[in-house]
Amino acid sequence: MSRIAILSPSLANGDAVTNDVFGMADVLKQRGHDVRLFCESHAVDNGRVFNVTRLRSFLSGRDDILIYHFSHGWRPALDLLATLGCRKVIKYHNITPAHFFHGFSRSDVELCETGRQQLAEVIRGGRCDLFLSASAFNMSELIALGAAAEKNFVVPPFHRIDRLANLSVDDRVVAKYSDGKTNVLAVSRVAPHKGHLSLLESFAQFHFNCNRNSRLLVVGKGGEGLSRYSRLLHRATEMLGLRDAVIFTGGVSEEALKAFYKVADVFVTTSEHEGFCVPLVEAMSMELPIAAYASCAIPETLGDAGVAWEDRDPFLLAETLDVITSDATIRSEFAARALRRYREEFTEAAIEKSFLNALSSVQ
Amino acid sequence: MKRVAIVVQRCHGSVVGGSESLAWNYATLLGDAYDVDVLTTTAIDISDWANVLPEGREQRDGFNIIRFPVTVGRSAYWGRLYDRLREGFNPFAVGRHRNGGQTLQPRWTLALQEEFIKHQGPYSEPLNNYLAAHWRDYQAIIFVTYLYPTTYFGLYQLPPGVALFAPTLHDEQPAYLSAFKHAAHRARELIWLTEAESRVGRKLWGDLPGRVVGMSVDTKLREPAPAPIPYLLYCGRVDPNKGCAELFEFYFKYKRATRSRLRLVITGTADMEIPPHPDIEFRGFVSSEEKFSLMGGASVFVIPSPNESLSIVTLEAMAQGTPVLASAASEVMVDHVNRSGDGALYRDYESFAAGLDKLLGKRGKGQSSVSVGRDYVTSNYEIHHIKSRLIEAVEATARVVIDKPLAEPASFRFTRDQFIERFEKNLRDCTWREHPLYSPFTQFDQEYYLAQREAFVHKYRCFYAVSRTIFPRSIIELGTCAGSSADAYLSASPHAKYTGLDLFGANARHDDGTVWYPLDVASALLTDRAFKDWTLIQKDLRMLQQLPEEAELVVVDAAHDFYNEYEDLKLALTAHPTFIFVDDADDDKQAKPAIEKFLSEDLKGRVEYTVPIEYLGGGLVIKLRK
Repeated sequence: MSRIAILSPSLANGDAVTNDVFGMADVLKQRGHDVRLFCESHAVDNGRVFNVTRLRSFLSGRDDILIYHFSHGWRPALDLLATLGCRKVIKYHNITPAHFFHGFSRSDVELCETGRQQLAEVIRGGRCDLFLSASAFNMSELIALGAAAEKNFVVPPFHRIDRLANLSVDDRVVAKYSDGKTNVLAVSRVAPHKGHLSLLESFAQFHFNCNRNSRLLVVGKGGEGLSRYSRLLHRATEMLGLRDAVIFTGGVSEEALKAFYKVADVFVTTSEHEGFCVPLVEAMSMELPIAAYASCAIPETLGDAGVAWEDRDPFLLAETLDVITSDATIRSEFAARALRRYREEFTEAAIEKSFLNALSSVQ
Repeated sequence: MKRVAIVVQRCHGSVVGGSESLAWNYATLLGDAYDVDVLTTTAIDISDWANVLPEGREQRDGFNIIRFPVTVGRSAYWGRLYDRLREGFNPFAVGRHRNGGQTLQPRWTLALQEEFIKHQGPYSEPLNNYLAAHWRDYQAIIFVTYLYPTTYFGLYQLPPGVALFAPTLHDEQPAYLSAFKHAAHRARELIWLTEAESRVGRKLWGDLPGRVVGMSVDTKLREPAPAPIPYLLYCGRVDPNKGCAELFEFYFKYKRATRSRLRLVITGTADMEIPPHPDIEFRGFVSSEEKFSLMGGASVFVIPSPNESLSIVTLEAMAQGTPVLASAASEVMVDHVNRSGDGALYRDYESFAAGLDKLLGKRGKGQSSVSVGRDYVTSNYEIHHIKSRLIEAVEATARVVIDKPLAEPASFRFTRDQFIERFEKNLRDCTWREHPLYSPFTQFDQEYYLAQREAFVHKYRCFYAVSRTIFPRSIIELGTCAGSSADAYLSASPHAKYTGLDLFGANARHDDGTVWYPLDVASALLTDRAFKDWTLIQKDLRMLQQLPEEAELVVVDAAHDFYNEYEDLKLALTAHPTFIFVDDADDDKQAKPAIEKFLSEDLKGRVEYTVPIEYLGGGLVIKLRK
């Protein structure tokens, strides 16, 4: 049995990378490995987490394994990857292109730019034994940077869906939003690359041209230092005349999140950059029909479980929302496809299998 | 012996409940003819559905009970959801029209409704898994009562159009959830307890195939309990929801008004306070023999409940020759009283008093043990009536499980008149319905079919009846397209080996321009219907000289031009069929001359008879001599 360190710059409840970290740790612990989590800062309730400074003393043997979750720039990880003698695995969650944050957040621009530089540096260094990518889209970036194809595997991220399934829904959300209005749901961090302006634009088309008895629920917390972006969205909502039809919930509990999925009639994403898009999989598991723009990894994750348009055309997306929400046959067909895709591709068991299969190449 | 499964939320000697009794009643009725498995949970207590009984198999009175553990029971969480649901039902809530017909439509998404149904309990994942893995082992699976997740999620483990479903439906709030309506439409057939229940079903769920079966009632006459002072009898739960508060009020008012000595005897459980009075006697739980004897001795049996789906006690009392005074708020009671020609109904105190006077005067208790009420029960609810109706329903599921080669179909020896007679009967009895997702009404040019929906449904029912009448062991269809007609032929003869040939060319959907692939649709349809033996072959019929195998029935779909129609008919002969069925035979310009040429030249002297079938486009059955 190996000692395995799972490393991430930070860990926070509800965060997609954190869910992946915990999912991996559970699977490896069940197989008898000595697993520890390391980071620089964390805000999680469960499990023991160690500071990154203690990692070097934990991984002493050549057969020990370091799994680093790469999502932005972080120098301590680079130093460890360059100097440790154990096996090294990168889980690549993709790095948001820095230009999305220009004008909104300098610190994010910097994190993303250094992330890209460090990723290139790591691959050039040639000291990693294995690259796991959340999607083929991510994997192709690594290979383009020079990572050997045979060291690359696609492993979708572990998620919290099983936990959500067993939670109670927040019945206040149910009471508030089960009022006969058509609920269009978007779930993501409120950050510039998530395409909220496109979302508001297409929802406005839907709301004013197709269904006035509708509302848009934007669920997700705003990023730190992104208050300018939030203000922009609120201004846009006002300008589009959608003040009474769009709800920005901010961060919500998992019980409330589940309730939002349950009261929704359709899930929508207009995100401009995704390395995987976990909310799509959550929506699939909840049997929600999905409408999206086909950017980055979205069409790959979505498969045949929904509609993804190459053209970022608000009229097209609005019509799609209308067809899905007004035609019961189409809605139920998409709901069935969504659940089928989840069961075939993204259950914990399926992800566990591909993760262990990939990891076996370094064990 | 063929196997039948009955699915019910709980099953134990200590459980008193309408649907549980019905499940056991059906198990008993089917026990002679089938191996019956009762599939249920390990729970008894409805308040939490806790697992208290051992899992696995158990024998009771010669039946297998298979118990599965409950994975989601009932908790305070469900109570909170139920409160929210009731708020949704409030007809006076903001934004609702007080007098609108839609006030009982809760605005919940299906996902939310399912969350509610699941957490109402008893939800059993192992039971669902068992149903998904083993439904093929049973001739029929009967789901009892609509409300619980054992039925709701159970229905989704089987392909649509397979299960029998006895919903024991009432006009109550949860019944308005659309999830239940969708689930009901997955059943092959509904089993109703009464005509009144089927009307409630039509109102809430729309038209569904089904039949009234009922539940058997013990009609053996018992020695009436001695009654020196006449008494009114009520058996059941004493509960305001059962109309008992009103019953007490009216009873006291009647006694004051008439100075009657009439007593009120009650058996059952008390969920409200019974007013202390020397003339009211509460006996609690009594044995069934004591109950029947009390029924026989009563002057009048009273049933104040506004919500009944059958009311076994009423029928039992009627069978003992006792007249019934019932609340007219219950449609089922109105039916029982009106159809039996016995008893009386009340809406208010005046009609209560008048009804009681009439029944007490008419009865002169004990003078005659034979009543029209008893006749009504014995001729409708006696065991052999219910048994034969139930067995008919099970047999009509017709999922023929074949373990030996079938004999030559009887249709081979039918005369033309016999064929027509059978066809007409099969058309009348046809329970086939189009698949909810895969049918002409959802295909690329659905608007054409939707515009003439009834005519097309009739057409496919005719296909069903043709296939049912011939009951062939093998079918070849030339021109399968998206498989809707294959669905009708195979639903009628599910044992048959089916081979469908078509070019299966793709089309663009008229509504959204997306590509529509008939081969995918046909495969999905036949898979979902769970037909056992079918093959789809993508071939250009014009390139074929010979069909791939022999078949007893060859179906030729319209080719819409003389040459291709004629070639298809000639191709049909290469399978050495006994019957050829030509669809769209009425086309005067193209098909008709082709068929005439085929009959007069190629089949000269070989045709035993032909039968035209009337539907949109018309069909022609051709019976060939051996």
